[in-house]
Amino acid sequence: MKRIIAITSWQNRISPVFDTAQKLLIFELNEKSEISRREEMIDFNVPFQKIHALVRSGAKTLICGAITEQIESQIEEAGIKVLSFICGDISSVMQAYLAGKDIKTEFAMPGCKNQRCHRRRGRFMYLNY
Amino acid sequence: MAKDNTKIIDQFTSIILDSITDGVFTVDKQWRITSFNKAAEDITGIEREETIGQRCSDVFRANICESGCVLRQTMDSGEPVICQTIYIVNSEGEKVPVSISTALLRDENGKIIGGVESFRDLSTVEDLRKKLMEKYSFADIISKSSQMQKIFNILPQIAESDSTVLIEGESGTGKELFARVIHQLSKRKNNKMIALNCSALPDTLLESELFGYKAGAFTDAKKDKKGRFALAEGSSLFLDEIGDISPALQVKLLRVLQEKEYEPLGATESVKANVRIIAASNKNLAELVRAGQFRRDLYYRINVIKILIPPLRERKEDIPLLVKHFISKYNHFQNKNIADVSPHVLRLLMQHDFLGNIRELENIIEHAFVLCRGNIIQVDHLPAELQPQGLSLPNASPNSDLQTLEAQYLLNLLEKNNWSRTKTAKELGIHKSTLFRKIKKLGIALPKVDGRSVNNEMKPQ
Repeated sequence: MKRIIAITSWQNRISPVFDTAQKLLIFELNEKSEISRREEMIDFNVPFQKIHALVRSGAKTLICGAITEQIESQIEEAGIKVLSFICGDISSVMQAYLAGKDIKTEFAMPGCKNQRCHRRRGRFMYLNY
Repeated sequence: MAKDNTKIIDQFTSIILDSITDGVFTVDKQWRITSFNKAAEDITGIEREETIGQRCSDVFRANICESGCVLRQTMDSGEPVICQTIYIVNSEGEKVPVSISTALLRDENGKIIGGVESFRDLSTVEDLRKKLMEKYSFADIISKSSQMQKIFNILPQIAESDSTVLIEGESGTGKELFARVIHQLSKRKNNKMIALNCSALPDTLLESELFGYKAGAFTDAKKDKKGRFALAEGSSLFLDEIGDISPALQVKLLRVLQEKEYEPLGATESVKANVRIIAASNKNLAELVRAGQFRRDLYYRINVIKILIPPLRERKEDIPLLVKHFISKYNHFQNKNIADVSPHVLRLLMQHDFLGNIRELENIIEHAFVLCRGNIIQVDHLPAELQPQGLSLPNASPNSDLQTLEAQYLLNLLEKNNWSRTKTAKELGIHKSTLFRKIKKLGIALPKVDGRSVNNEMKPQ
């Protein structure tokens, strides 16, 4: 079964921060291997445009680095599963992902081991002053 | 012996670094973290052991890592960066504002071996700024000027009183915002405030809008229509630009205020009105009374409590506060991360005359948000008229007085908009009539074309 995943990319590694990531790699995969990949620039200052590009790409999973909670919720609301606070070489991460490994543990960003990041879930609230 | 000394110095350095409240980390030339102090652990929420040997971008997770790393700038140029405001994303997915500084690390031979980055958590400063903002705001109105603070002090009593209020102020000073605050603080707050701009409608339409009509009152009146007075029953009715209503309508409005009743068009019976009137005008109503253009008796009925909102140019101390407010507002609505305006931009804003008052300032910030792709609004993100070259007007001599500059500024803007008064007024954020008054007052001679005729000329015949 074909599936599409997106990874934010910088210097062949996962971008440290999704909110300011410039490039998206979109992979088309079958069960065990990569069918194709393409690049898309997402150097927008407005996060909504990044989310829109992501939705347009057809990806059902996003692998990214740090991400602000508000944007992560918006992406999830758009029906895309987010594997966040991941770091490392994209090729290694992809290899592990295709092998069905738990990349959230193996490639967790420093301080995020044992699913420690984003423990506190809640809706973003804007304080108008 | 030398080795022992180095070890002791390293221990001292570590103790000193751990005792300071600023986060500090060092990297080697491969951007791997070599040290990470206690405060850095506290601010990022990451333990030191997890950071050593890791890439700094995976640990620090700043908005500038990818496209504007200041440590890279320092490594490339040798120049330190001092106190740049950025944000990092902590493990909770929260943005933490920090101020960072960078420097090079050299060995005993002066060879670069890496860099050091120190950072200060600005969350507390940000919280204090918000608290300060609360002190200077009343509901949604923001000001620290003494004139405005006086108004803030009396606003609750005005709201409670249920008396008619007259709000006077130039276009763009926020008259409707004041009206809404008065309504929100009043006992009528549970009902929606109804607003009507009296200058936006022709006289006949305005009358039916205000009082409504009965079926058959005129040809197209197929069924009853409620007027704004009926819609505002038990609530407040905000009548903007009240100075623009005709003498005939002034009489009818006077009757409502005196008798607390009115007759919808075509009705045979009067309807009782329990409505609080909040009127506003960008004209000086007392002057209109003197000029015979506004009924004296109506003026006294409306002018029970008068609030005079000072123009922005008379309370320039509010400009930095309002700039922060609008940045915060547009960051929220446009989901952006702009931190501030540059000092040069703030200087230009402080020098600007703001004919369109707060609305003009908001338009300027909105314009800058469209163009700004970084974190700080720079001069080239401002509308052309505000940029320094826009102000170096061809005919402006160093001795030009303020009025001449203002006239030339308006002329430039009108020319840019193909002499369209409507477009120019819109760009300035002021009402067209205010622009006409300015043009007349400043004695600006306009060419015998305007935006409409230019547009018509361009239309195919």
